[in-house]
Amino acid sequence: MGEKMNQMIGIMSRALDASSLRQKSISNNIANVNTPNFKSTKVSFEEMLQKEVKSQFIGHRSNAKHVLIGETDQIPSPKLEQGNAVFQNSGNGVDLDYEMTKLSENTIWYQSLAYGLNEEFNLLKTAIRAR
Amino acid sequence: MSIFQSLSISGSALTANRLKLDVVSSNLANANTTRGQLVNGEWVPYRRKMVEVTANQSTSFTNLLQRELSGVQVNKIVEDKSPFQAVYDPSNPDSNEQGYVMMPNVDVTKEMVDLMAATRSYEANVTAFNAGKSMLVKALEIGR
Repeated sequence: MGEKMNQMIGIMSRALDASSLRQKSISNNIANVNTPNFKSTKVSFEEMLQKEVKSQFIGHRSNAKHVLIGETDQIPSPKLEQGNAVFQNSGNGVDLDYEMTKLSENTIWYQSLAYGLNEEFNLLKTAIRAR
Repeated sequence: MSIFQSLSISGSALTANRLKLDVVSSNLANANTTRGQLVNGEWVPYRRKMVEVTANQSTSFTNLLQRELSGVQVNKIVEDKSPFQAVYDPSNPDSNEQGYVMMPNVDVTKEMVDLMAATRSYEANVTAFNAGKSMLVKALEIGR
């Protein structure tokens, strides 16, 4: 139970990291909306997390000291990716409407993650105080 | 990577867009200035100015390593090299022997479009700034 909760907190804080990096990436894209030859960046995290969670392949271990293969407790870190689309004659690759939608989406996503993390801590608090 | 980076990224864009607005204002104000600058004792009309922006490239090693995002910067203000417009107006003190006055190469329509673009871009960046700010405030509430 405690392990699971710890992992939950770990995943959530990593997701918060991803969301905060995404905010920076979106800000940067919006800031460079008129910069010639600028290519937009995006953050990938959820796909990697999903892959990690769904990974079916688990290496057989005959000794507890063997390195884990497949199933790991590691939570992936968010990564920046460079796009290559071109949207303007100047060679700029920023779709402003897309960035603005992503911006508000990301803000709400961050706030709900913070809320969820808070609830998780509240559960722990309840358990500690036993009331 | 600093936590306030998203604010400074948006801030850099606000600076750049404000400078763009300043340059557009200067162009509009001088749309009819026939004596822009004195070159070899002769008056030359005002030349339209433009802003050259690039993505902020920090060259420090850690930044390159982390592919740091750091906003936008104005490289320089460049002059538009397109030719001046010749307007027939013999009564003008700046007219030449044929009665033509060289007017600045400022296109008011173009300037208005640039003005709108800069304003909208400024607004978009203010929105991004506020979103980043609300996220930071929310982060303070974790564990409270």
